[in-house]
Amino acid sequence: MSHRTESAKTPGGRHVLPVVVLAVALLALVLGACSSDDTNPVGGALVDVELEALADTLDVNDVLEYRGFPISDPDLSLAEHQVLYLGEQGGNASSILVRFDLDELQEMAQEREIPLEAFSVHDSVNVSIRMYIVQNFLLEDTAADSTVSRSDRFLWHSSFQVFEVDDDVDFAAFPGDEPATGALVNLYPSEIEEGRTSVEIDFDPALFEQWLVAGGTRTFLIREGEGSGPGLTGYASKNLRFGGSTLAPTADTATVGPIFKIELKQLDEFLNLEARNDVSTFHATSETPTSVSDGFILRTGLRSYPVLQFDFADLPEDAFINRATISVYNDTTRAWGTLTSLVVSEFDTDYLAAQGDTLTLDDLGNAVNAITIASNVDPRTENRLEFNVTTAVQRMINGAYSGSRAFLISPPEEFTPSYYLAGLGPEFYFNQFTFYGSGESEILRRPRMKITYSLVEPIGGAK
Amino acid sequence: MKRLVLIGLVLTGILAATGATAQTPFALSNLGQKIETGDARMAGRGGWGMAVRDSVNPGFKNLAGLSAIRQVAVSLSGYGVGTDSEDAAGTRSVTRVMAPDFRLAAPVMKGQLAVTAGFRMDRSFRYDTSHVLTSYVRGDTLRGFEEFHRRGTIFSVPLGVAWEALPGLSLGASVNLVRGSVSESLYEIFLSPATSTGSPFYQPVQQIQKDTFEGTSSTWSALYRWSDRVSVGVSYTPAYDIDADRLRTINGLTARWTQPWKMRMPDEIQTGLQARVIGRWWVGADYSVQAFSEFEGPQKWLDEGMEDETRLSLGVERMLGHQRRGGSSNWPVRFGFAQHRWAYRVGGEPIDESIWSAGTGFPFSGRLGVLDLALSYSKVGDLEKNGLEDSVWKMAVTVTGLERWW
Repeated sequence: MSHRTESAKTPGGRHVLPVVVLAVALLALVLGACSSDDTNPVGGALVDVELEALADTLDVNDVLEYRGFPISDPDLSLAEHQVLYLGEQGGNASSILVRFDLDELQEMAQEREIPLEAFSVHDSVNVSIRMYIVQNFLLEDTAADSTVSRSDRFLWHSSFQVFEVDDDVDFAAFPGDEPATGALVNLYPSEIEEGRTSVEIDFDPALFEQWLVAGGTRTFLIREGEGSGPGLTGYASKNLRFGGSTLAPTADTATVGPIFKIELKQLDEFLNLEARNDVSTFHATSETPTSVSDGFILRTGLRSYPVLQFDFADLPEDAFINRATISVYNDTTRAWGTLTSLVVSEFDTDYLAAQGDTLTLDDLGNAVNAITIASNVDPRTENRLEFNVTTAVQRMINGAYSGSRAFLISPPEEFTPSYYLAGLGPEFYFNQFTFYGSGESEILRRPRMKITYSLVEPIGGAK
Repeated sequence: MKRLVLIGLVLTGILAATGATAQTPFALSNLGQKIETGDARMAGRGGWGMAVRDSVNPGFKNLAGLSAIRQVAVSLSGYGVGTDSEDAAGTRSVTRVMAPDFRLAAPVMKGQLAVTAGFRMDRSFRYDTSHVLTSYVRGDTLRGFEEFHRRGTIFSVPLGVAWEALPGLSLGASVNLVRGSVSESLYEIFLSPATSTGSPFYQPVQQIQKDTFEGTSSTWSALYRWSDRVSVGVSYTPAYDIDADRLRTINGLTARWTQPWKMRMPDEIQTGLQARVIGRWWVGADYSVQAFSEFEGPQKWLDEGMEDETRLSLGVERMLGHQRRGGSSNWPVRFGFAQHRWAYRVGGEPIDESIWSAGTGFPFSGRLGVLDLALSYSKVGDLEKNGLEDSVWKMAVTVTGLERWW
């Protein structure tokens, strides 16, 4: 049809067209705004594919690789730690070395115009080493009982032995063997009253006067005496920076470390001589199991962290991970310490050193990627720990990495920034979790991974 | 200027409404829904338009007819669609707005030679469905839902030329750049059990498969004006390949696969005839067939069963009148019927669509364009045969503007 028409007038009149156009535009807007009711099952029969929702579960009990890594911190020696440990616990044993400079005490006396003769009136002089308690281990039977006061839970060392040792002991050499000891120099046995938040080890004022007159430095080894209660106890070192939050409210936070405390009754004077150096000897540390069948440990203070790699060989191809968890079982009878948060991280197995090798914190930082945290875990009461590692397993099995990955369990560290809060670092407390190994007879106590997955088939219309 | 404002207004309205979702559940499978291109004028009279050669209201269905134009022609068509669907699972009503067709034609030699370009939506894949999901695992009862979304289009950009080779005989040819994509997304979301902060224990699964398409086709057409009363038109699009690239992802980056594949679209033939019966009354018919029985593509689609896609369009139009003070008697009136068989089967049976339509139009003053409207009702599929049935109301609007740009 050829419509080369000549009409000049709009049939509907001048105003009809704009009204119609507006109506059309409005209708289009209304249709768009109405959009659609909610999606419902209509049409579902045409979608003949679906994920096999949560098709199966897989328990991975085989640990492919295991390492128990001692971790060193080149930037912080043991002599710079904030807590000193004394006692024995779980194969670990430590004494405390302290060094005092008697010349400082002489200067202090001069400044306060106290004559040295005042120290010779022995029956009016009391001399002791005072140490504040930072960490003690809760008695098992009272730990969960909130009605028992904090001080009543302390398990005391009932006696101490103090020996003089050579003054040339290198404090930076620890952990290490105890130095050879000289004479016992404190008043022994030195019974400590239960319930105190500090200990005071008494000395013979006459002997102390000799040291003072001789001047110079003297180094002492503080060791547990017979009859002491079992377990390690942590004391404030001269490096303690968190006295306000870790010591009893009555503590003198101006001098938190070990001090010689001298009372001159005649003059009604007190002199506090702070230690120049202090360190825990940790002359014995527990062995990290070399086979995961024997169990494994996580230790703070002197760090030792476990790395576990699980075997995904039984996981079907094209599986999508809906949930994956790692569970480990802590033997509360062989664990100790304060509330500790535990972080599970991916660990690049390229950094897997030989069993027993030490990793530095920097090495560890390069190897890990934090995944999840369990906050405030009490090693004395909590046994079964489960970590959600779903996203990490998804990455591992879907080839997101060129190499393979294992799992590291550690407390929050600077290299797990999502979970790390500045403050008490993992070196502060000497805590230990002792986990059952893969050789444990009860399967539920073994380290294992539980995976729930969906099988993923190609979707939609095309092949 | 007034005309441009009106065109802009309509365009704004249509584009503002494109956020709507869903069309027909039939589009969930296979090659999706064929989008009937053409303007509202053709839609109102059932779809016939292969024999149109009109300088005032040019039709783009047969490019050969564009040789008649004497001015630059711009045509924009949009649809508002309301669909009620029913299957064994229940019913659902959805609405959607889309703008499937935009065309431009410019005369090179007025009334003899023209070039054309545009955008034409060929097939649409758009629907979503969901159902409640309950699973039991490791002593947990998981509750959530599973949702499937299919979205995308195959469209073409025809670049063509029309030429009146002999008096009454026009020829047309176009190269069609075929492009598009379709994404199919499957979600499984487990709302419970969850942590005290509401985070579900079990990770949702989101699997997305996206195919992108690329191909080129050509269309050859002719239109013969037998007399002032009778015209016939024909076009032929030879079979062509569409290359597809498939990207499959699971929950973002956690797993990715790519895979190339190919499909071969079969020949398509369209024919049409129109004749003046009496006065301003015309009748017309179009018939098209695309032999999808010879379609080559995904085995899954072939297994579902392919059909030759056919469409028969019949209609009547009372042309625009120009009688002084004629009022509404000058308005064009159109109505028609079409029977469409889809390219694939659902439920083992062909999908048949019957369409009844009516329409009218409003010319711009000075004969420099037309606004056409059409309303149609169609029934798609059969509940007993296909297990699914649609009732569709569609309003089409086309604005065609003419301008002497040189």
